[in-house]
Amino acid sequence: MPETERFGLWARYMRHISRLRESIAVTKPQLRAAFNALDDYMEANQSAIDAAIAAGTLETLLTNNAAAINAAIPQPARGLLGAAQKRFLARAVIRRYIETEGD
Amino acid sequence: MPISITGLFAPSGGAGAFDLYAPEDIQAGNVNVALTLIAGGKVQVSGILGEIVPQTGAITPVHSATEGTFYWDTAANKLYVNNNGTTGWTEVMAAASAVVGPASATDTAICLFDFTTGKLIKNSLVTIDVSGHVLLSGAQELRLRDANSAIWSASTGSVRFKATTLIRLMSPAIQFWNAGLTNQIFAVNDVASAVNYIEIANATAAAPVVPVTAVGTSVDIGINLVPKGAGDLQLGGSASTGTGGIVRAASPTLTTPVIGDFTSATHSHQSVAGGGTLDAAAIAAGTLAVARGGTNLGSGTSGGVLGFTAAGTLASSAALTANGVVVGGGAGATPTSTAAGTTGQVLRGVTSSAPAWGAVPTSGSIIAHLEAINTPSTDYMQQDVRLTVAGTVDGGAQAVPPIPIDVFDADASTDEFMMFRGKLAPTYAGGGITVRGVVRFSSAITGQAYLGFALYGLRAASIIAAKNHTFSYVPVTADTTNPNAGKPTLFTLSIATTDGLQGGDPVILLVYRDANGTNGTDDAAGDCEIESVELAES
Repeated sequence: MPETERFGLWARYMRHISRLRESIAVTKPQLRAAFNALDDYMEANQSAIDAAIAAGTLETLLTNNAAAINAAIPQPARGLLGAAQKRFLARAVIRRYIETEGD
Repeated sequence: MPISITGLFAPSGGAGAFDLYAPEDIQAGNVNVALTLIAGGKVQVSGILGEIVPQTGAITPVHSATEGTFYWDTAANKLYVNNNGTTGWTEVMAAASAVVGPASATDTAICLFDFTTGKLIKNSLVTIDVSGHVLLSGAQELRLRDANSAIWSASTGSVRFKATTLIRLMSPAIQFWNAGLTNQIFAVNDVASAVNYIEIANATAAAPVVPVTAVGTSVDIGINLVPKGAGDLQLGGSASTGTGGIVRAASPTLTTPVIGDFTSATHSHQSVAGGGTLDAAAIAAGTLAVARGGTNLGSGTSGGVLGFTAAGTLASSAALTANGVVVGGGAGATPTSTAAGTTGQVLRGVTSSAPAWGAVPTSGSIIAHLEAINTPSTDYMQQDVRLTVAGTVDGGAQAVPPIPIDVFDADASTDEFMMFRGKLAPTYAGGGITVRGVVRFSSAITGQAYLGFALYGLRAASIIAAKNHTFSYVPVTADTTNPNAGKPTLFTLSIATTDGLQGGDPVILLVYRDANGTNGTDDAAGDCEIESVELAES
């Protein structure tokens, strides 16, 4: 994703958790680094993701590669973010990737 | 007619003697008798009327037969004395050895040679009576060697000694007694085992009252004043007190002395009841130093107070204002005072200046209640309505009912502004203003938000007459002690420069979150909810 997309995704996520008053234990730079790393991971595995989307097996792909996706998140965000938060971040990146794929 | 008799008259064993008569008719003339005597013989003539003229070397005339009488032999120039009352005449002296005295002399006076001939004597003023007393009747001196060493009496009963160099009494003991030799007044006695022994006695005591004794064998002679028995050392009739050595005139050391009352011509130190005074004349020059209670001042200002301008320097301040309040002057300065206040005023602090009187106490008080102005801008803070967390405030189990409040969400990724307006209280008298408020982080439990504030002052007709357009920043840290976000966090920010804001001025407070970290670190993830903002005097 372009930098502006990454920034927007990061900003929207913070507004989202703010509305939910969901606690987050990482700082803005750490959260931004997590987004960037996930986006880098998706771009690096673009072919597999595209294939899974076409085959309708994206969920399976993400589930099967959960460990790798988690490992792509740099510390300290990897340890400080909750599992649900990391899953939300990954899905947000994938969703944005899908939304912008046709652009 | 002349008669001539020639014969030898030498009776054996004695002197010759015969009678010679002259005829009456020659009684008036001379009778020439020639007598030849043996050596040592004498002619004794009696019944002679007239004069016998002895021939030279012929006879020794007899003038008197009384023992002890003298006669002078004019022919022989000798003096004779009758030593037996009849014929015993003895030569006393020849004229060549005669000593001649004055016509009269003082009885028992010592005769003096006159001139150097040894033949003339004269009277003197010195007498020796039959008891052997030598008397210098007047103020004559008994000189020893010369006039520099003499003894004399100026008047009856006095004796004077004159020694221009030294009087040395070489005696083992020297004693002074009264006239009756009953009381020893002063004595220097040769006492066994003592170097010297001096006694001073009064007129009646047999024993010394105040002995001054130098004792011991050391080369140093200590003079000990030893009272007699349980007696006391008295000076001027007063008993001595205290212990230790005698206090001398120069630089005495007194150990814990107790000073009662003493008075001199220039100062007095009296008892507490009497009150002490120190006359100015007691201080020769200068002033009393600060130490020991002095002030180091010769005078002070009426109405002023003493203040230390250095560690050891006291100075008088200027006259303090009547009914003013003393204000410290800081190091090196004496205190000053404020002006007098008026009824109802209170004293308030002023930054970097003396406090000033004001109408009411305002320090720390809220001087403006602010209300939000929704700025038509994309970057203004979003107003939201939040419910306070119920029952879990601070992680506790309090049953707090939810209360809806208006909050302004400051975004975490984009700088957003919010403007509040209000009016300074009329009691505000200038000085620093503190912005204080409450924020809550919607999500962050770590990191901080960096908030900026700028205060604008408005005055009549909405003209900005005073403003503080320079942002001041304060970091507001998320609460890391609570795992749940949303705990209220207080912040305060002092704005020193207020550009002459006055009480009653309308003000606008511009608040923004420096989310992009232009001016400071803002790393708290999520919104920062500004729930209240108010202004108070610093």
